[in-house]
Amino acid sequence: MKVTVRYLGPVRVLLNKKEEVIEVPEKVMLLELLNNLSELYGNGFKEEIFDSVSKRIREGLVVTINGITIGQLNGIRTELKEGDTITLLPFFAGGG
Amino acid sequence: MSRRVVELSSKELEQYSRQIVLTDIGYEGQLKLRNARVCIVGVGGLGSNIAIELAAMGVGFLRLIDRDVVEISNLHRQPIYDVDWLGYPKVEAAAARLKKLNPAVKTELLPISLNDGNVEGAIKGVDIVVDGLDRIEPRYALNRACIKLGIPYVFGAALEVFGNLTTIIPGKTPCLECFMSGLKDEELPTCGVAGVHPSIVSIISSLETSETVKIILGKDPSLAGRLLFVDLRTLSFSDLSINRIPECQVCGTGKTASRKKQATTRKLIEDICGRHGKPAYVITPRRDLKLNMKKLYKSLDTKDYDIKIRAITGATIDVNKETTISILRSGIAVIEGTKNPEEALNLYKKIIVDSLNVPWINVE
Repeated sequence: MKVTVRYLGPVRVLLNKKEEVIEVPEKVMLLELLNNLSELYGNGFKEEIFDSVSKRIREGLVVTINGITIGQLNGIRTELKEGDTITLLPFFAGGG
Repeated sequence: MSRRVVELSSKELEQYSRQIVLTDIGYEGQLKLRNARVCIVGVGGLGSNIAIELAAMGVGFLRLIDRDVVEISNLHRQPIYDVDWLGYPKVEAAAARLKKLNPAVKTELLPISLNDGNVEGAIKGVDIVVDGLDRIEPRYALNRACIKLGIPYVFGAALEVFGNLTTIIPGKTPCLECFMSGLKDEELPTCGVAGVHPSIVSIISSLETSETVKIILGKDPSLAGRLLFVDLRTLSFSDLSINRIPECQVCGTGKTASRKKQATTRKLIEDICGRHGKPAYVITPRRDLKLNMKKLYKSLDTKDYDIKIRAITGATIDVNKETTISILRSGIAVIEGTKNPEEALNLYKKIIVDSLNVPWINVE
């Protein structure tokens, strides 16, 4: 099945792409998708997504599936479905 | 709250003519702006731009909250200030500029640092709270207070070349905790470390102004339930819908659950980014000390301190070549150049507590 991943902020700059459609196995979990992308794009990408110590999603990154934050779903264990759009959005709390 | 309607004067009609002509604002809208009471929390990059725009548009009452003084590193993105105001409390410098821009606007100045103990009192009595903060933990405190008091909260933040914002309407939209709970300031980058582009600050602050004005005019804010992300590098605007979490511990059923809310407690002394390559500490007393600044100046003059700035809401004193202390009327102080926090605290005791016989229980 196919899902779309949207990149925003530093990840977009790093990969130089706004979004891409990715072929994934049926019922794959979000975590597996992010792990596969980390393998594909290397450490720079991985550091933007995961906390290197806790191995969880980095603080300050909002991940949504079809516009719903994953905290409201099953977190990184959420199962993906055909046609889902996953957005990786860095959250900023600076003030200028 | 009903307020007496006084028609717009001919001077006001002329002053605001270019926005009264807009169908989005109009005559009635201008009256609403004049009657509005807005609290701007933080008058740094975002907040100072918002203050300028809201004052220029004729918002009748602005409460300005900030714990800092004007520094030279602020000027590249905070054009409300200039070199004549270096070392002055930001709230006072901002209010002076706003008075020249639009003398009809009333300002109220709170030179304080927000925490759970003082946030509700600080925002009470306003129609809208607008975010100009630079840290996440006071934002959580603000979010909790806005939800509790039912005050709309326009959230915005900018860092590097990125920014994001959303508008939180209590009871209707997700609150800050719904979509981004559990962050800690120590884990997040700051402007001092990561830098910030003045243009992203202007964009985000102007969008916050636009949202604030929509709420004042009784229109639906465009970013209710949407988180907008702006990327200056690619000049792209992206947004995603965000949803309320029914069991949210701040705005949902979780507020009655036993789970302890994340508290934004006051810290007596905090290590903040060194601004001139020196360590810097903020001291926040337990209570608003309401210092008698004149008495403080008199006392320090007898001890031959070099008081660089003598303002109404605060002062900046060069203690020696290395060390500077900026004191706000509330008792908050920023100390730069001491070797460690103990030395900073001792200096605070010597300069403020001893000079004015402040009971230590009000500080600790």
